[in-house]
Amino acid sequence: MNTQTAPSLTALALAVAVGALGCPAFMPPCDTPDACGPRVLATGTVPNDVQLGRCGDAEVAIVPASFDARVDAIALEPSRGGEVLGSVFLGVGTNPWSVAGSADRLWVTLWSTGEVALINTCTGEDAGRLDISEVVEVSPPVTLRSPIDADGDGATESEVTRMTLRSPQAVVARGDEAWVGFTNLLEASASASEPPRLGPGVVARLAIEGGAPVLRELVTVPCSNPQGLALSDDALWVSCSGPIGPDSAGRQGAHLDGALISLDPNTLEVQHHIDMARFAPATPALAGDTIVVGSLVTSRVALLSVTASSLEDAHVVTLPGAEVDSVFEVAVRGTRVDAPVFSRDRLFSFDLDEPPATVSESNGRLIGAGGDPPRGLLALDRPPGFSVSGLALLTLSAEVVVLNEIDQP
Amino acid sequence: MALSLASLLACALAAQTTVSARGADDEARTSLPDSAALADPSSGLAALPGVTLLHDGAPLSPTRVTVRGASGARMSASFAGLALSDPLDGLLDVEALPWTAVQLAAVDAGARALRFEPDARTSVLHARVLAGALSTLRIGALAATPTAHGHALVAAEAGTTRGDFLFAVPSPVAGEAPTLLVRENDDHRRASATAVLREAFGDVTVVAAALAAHHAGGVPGFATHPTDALRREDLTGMARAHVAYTAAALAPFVEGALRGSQRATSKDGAVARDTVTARSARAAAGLSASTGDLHVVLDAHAESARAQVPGRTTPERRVVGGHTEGSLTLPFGLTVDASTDADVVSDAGPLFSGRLRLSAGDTVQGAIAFARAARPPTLDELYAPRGFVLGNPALEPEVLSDVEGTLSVRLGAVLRARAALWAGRIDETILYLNRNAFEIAPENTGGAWRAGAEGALCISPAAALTLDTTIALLASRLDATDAALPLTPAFTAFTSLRVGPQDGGHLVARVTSRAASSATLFGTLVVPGYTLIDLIGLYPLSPHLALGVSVRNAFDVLDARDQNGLPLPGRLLFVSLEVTG
Repeated sequence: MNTQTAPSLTALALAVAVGALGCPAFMPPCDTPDACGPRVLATGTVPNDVQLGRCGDAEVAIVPASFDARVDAIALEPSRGGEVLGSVFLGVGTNPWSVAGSADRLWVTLWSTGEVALINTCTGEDAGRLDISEVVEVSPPVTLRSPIDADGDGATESEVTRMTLRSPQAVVARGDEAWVGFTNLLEASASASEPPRLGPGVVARLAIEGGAPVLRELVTVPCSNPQGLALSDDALWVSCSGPIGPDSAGRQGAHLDGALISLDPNTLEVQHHIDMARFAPATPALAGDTIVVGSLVTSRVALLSVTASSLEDAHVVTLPGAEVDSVFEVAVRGTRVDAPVFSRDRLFSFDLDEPPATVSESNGRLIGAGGDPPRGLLALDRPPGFSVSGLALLTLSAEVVVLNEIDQP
Repeated sequence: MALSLASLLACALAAQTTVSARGADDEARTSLPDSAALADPSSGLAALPGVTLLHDGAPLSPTRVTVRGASGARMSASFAGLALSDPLDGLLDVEALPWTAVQLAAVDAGARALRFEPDARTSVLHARVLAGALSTLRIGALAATPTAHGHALVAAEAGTTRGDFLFAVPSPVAGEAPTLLVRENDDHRRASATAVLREAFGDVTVVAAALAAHHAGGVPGFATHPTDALRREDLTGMARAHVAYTAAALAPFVEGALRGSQRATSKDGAVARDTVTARSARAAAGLSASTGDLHVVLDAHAESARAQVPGRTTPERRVVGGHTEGSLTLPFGLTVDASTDADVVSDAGPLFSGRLRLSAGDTVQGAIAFARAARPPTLDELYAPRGFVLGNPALEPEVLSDVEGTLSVRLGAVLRARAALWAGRIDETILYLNRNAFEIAPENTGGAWRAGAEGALCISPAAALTLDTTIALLASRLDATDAALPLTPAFTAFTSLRVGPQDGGHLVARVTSRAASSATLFGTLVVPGYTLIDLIGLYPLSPHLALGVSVRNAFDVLDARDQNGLPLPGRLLFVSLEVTG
């Protein structure tokens, strides 16, 4: 019997008591968001994104559970105990990935089927699917280890010169429109000598017509593996990481240079190109004329002007993290940047006007129960106008943590 | 029925297969009536306290076993002395066994060894054909006979199922109807054969056994995240021979065993490109001696295991070591059993394991046992990188230590009861963790503990009425996450009620229950528990022909899932014919 048993059992007993009786007398009542400390909500299996939203008067966490093939709206109100107010089952094997829009008009990328869904999470209505079966050129051709029917003509091929769009991932929305990035993964990495095979990055502009989603524009972008999108009034920023896989030493990294590319949101014409080398940029955030973007393969955040030409023009902030680590999504509110580090379960914050070169471990706010192994801090949503200051997603433990300003470091 | 064990077991009167819950009390046993009349006879293993089964899908699909929360490399499994667990990853698929030939299943003290035994002491020819739901067909035949100075057995079995079944996904929204889905890519084909011989040639005794098994089928994947068109094929063969010279006071023996397996996966009908082969060989020599109340066995052994993954690492392991075991009967009915194992493993260093058991009593028997087992990381855990799952050559061996106390009562054929309390510690617990967002690898995560209580009760007031029930409670905690071990329900129960004589027409109702369990290391993603009821009826049409009808999951519970989160089929109806000569 180990020495941690007694405190563990005490904690368990306390948890049971709190669960059964509400907050102990020495805590404030559980009718305010800050009562009983940070709240943790259980999600479905393999949650991949999180977004704050509203169903009527109720604030909800919108979470796509990839392996359960559904999107849930989970009540944030403490008295409702994580009740799921609405849910849309998107079909076996759809693998919902990212969400954007409002809870009652939500765009969802379906990674495995290549579709984009438009749903009302609050009522459970599946308003429609958009199967973008456009065929794009693959140049130069991509050679696969195992043949697949990449272009949908019924025949399999090992050398891919044309392909139908697949693996939609990032999505952003505004009004009746949405923009979706297709990573076009053809074959996953099997080992250090077999990096992933990808088709060209593609971005599509979608709209709602007669209540159903329709395709407006489509463009092949001059970069590979579009991982994230960010929208400003006059630009759609596309973040391309390049193919991610193990190098000859087995270390995960980008196999090609990545890029940040701005497109005209309406025409999807390329406006500007920033070379990101092997930084492997993740989902970007915009703060005025500054782009803030984390790395998929290191615990770093790059700050760049929208007019920068390459990573060399960036201020790079190094955060505590593992040798291979990820900052999938940053949030900017005012001049404050919050950056979640995947393997640390910590949110590191710094001021955009005085960005440091490095951030110490002690400057991080632990999200969730913490400990080793990590719970996988994947996504963050901190929009203004809600009673809570944001939501953070722990993907490995399938939990959403409700953030409150009172908890800031 | 063909293979009656009535003379052996109070509550297994003429049962087709018998399960023995062997803890500190080696004699405590529980019957498993009539599972052979089901398409998945391994389901009867749930009658063992603390045993749960994890199915990939329909009957005939790969089925794993957990005992007291331990599975895979944390436990060993054998059939007629043949080591069943895969040398690559320690996994055991119990559906690969030729169940027509399995007579006994037992769990050792500390719950780390699952043992299956044939019983060939009765001369019998036996054949069974089962057909029913999901286009399932299972055929088995057995020939067993006593020989001049021993016995021999051969058995073969084959089965096929279309496998696809309906299941329900409950809505997370309170009050909303569940979604009904079809579990696809769940077809399976199986074939297995075994031969067992025990014969004495003068002063030389030979025990030999061989087993071959083949399985091909779909890999359906997670319930709502299936792996379309992913196929898997497994081929396994093993053989063992044990030769002893019994005339001398110190009886020398030699033993040899070979095992080979091939595992191939393919997708969309493509030629299999992920093929893993593994083979192992073991040789041992030793002495055994029995004098009065003392019995001692000493052996030295060497073992080699090698796995091959085309284009990747080719791990190899060599083991040399020694084994001792002995038992001594002392005054006042006290018996002491002890065993030790000392091995040097080429990629894990020296390992020491041992067990000590003290027991006393007859009608009322009490026992206490201590066990320690050090297991090397499997070849798969150490070396096998494949995609995003990596090996970890820096892994340290994992050590399991347990203490167990049991009390059992036996009143002839009328009542048998057994209670056990146990607690165990796992050090250097090996678990698969995310190394980062892209890779998973096994790591030593520190300690974990498990503790439990088990009860078994078998009442047979008349030949035509038997109630057999087992209940297990299990608490566990991983130091690293302060959560319960994943896939480990806190409560499991199995109850079987037979009405009617076992040798005549009878009905069996059995109830399998388990509590909710967590599917992650953090105690999150709870898989709800279930209660399922099976009905089995057997009616002898003639002295040599019996008709069986079985209903699995009689109340058509469509949302039941095993701890692994994979759905179980709803109501399944099967009909079987048994011919005994």
